[in-house]
Amino acid sequence: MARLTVRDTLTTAALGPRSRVSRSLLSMLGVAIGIATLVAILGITATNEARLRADLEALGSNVLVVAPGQGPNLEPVPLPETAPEMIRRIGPVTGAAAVRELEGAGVFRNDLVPSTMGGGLTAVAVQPELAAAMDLHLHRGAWFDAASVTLPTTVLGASAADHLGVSVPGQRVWIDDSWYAVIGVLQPSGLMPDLDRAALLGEDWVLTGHPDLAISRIQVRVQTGTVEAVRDVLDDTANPGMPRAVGVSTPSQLADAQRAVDSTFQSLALGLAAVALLVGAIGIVNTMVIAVLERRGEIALRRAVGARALQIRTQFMLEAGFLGLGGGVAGAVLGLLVVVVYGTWQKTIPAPNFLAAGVGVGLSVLVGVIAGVYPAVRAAQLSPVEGLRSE
Amino acid sequence: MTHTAVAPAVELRGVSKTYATGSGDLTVLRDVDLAIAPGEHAAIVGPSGSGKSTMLSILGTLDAPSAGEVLVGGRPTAAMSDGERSDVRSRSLGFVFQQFHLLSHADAVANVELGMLYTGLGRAERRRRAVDALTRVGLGERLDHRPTQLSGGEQQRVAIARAIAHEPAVVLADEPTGALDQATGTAIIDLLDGLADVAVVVITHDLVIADRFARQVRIRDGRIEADLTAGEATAAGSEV
Repeated sequence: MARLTVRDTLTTAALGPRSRVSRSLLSMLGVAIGIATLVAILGITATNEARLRADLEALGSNVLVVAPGQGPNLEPVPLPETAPEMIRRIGPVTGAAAVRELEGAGVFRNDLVPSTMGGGLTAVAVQPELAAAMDLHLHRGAWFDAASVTLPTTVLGASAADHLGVSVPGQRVWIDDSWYAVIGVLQPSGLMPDLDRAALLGEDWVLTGHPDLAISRIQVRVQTGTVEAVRDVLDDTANPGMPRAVGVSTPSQLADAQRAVDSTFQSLALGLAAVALLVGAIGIVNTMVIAVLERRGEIALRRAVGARALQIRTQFMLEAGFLGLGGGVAGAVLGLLVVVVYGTWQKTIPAPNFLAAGVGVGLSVLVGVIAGVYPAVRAAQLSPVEGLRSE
Repeated sequence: MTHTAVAPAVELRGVSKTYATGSGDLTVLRDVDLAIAPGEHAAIVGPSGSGKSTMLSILGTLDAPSAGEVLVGGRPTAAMSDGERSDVRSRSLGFVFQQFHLLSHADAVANVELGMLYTGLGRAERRRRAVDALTRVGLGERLDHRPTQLSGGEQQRVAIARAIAHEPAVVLADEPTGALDQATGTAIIDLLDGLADVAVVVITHDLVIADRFARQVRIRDGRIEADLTAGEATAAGSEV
């Protein structure tokens, strides 16, 4: 009989927050910050991942890298010298080239530079096939040809050329204790960013001086859509004798690595969001406890005109729920805005997480209602007689 | 007068009220019998501390007696659940307080409507009755005024409208003129005493006000000292 309609219940519960607007807004702040953090972090990590994926897609996800693995005794097993040629014979492979790192070889402007001032530049021996396989483009000069690959010549990465102060081919640089002629300078490469700070040497020439220099890795380019198929046969092809001692990776594993980093960051941020939500809940509890104290007269009056204890309890829990809802909606909107602004700033397509925003709003209502339990129980237990005497 | 076939609107039977305090029990009401007939207007008069406010709270089922029975419309309330007692208040009782107890952020109509919120009446019906009641108390022109925009007397009129809008059997008024000047207070008493078809119980410490009512119940130290009709009260004089 005396049950309130849903509309009456909601209107009654909305009365409190509406009559004390600034306090209500302040008590929503904690929850809003929590939800904004949640929505923003999830959106930003999703935006990052989408961009990384898009970058890899643009570069070509059809790249595989073969590297030496470990034998049963955990000793490194070098790749056979025949591996690059064998790999090139796999049908869908459009290019493959070996890269050998000359560890400890310094790269200097000339022989007078102290060896401690290498600037972090590295020297690598490459096969001429590398340029075609990995889409390397020259800024100036020329790539290795059949003749220059057998001579002391070098092609410099973009940053390495800057560092050495070599802007045009035809100059000499001091690498691995001998003079090399610069024949070309590379453009920055998206697929092989590590070549940026390297001096590339012709493999044939290097092997005359270091006949035992092992293959560090083989860059493999395949036809689109054949990555999985080629991947399955690469180890057998590269080292038929010990296929298990061959490591094969794809750049998309970079994305996985990135995701692992992101997920650490994400858990940290979600933890922060949880703390903010907790603080928000405490804020709501405080506001509601004070509201109950202040409104003893109103509560007593409601009891006098026939409100049941349960209806008083419901009213105050809903009031707290409204505070949560307000905070949640504000936080979700703010979080989504942050993601959009971040995406615009990073010049990429933002990936706002609407599901998280929705769940966040629901979560805030829940937090509000739970925060309202204690004040609501206190309100319902107030003696009407004492409440009417206050004021 | 109380021994009619019709059940009293409210009735106390052997009601006592004792509060536990730090220095032992404090008895505020002792074995009080009181019946208010339907439509009867009565004043409960006594000095402060005589227990009259407690009596009103118990009559209004806002407080429970330590002993004895409270009947509203002939129905005992002791065994009722909180919900049932709340329903009794929402339907059969109306309250008027010294401090008005109006919601400051709601206008006059909304304040009167609040008195019917828990009765089960629909929104439109509540509004209609609220406007009616405000018109009856002479505030038909000030429906959308907030309490801060009304004088003390007008605020008390809103409170009276709130107490009568749902057509209760009894209106219980606790020092309704306590916060008002004498002229305004007189007007409020006129208004309360002029209510027809509803029992009115006014609590006051003021014999002049009590004299306005057909029945005077004088209490002192928690006991009913005298229960007089208007004529008897005048004869008994104003010694309280």
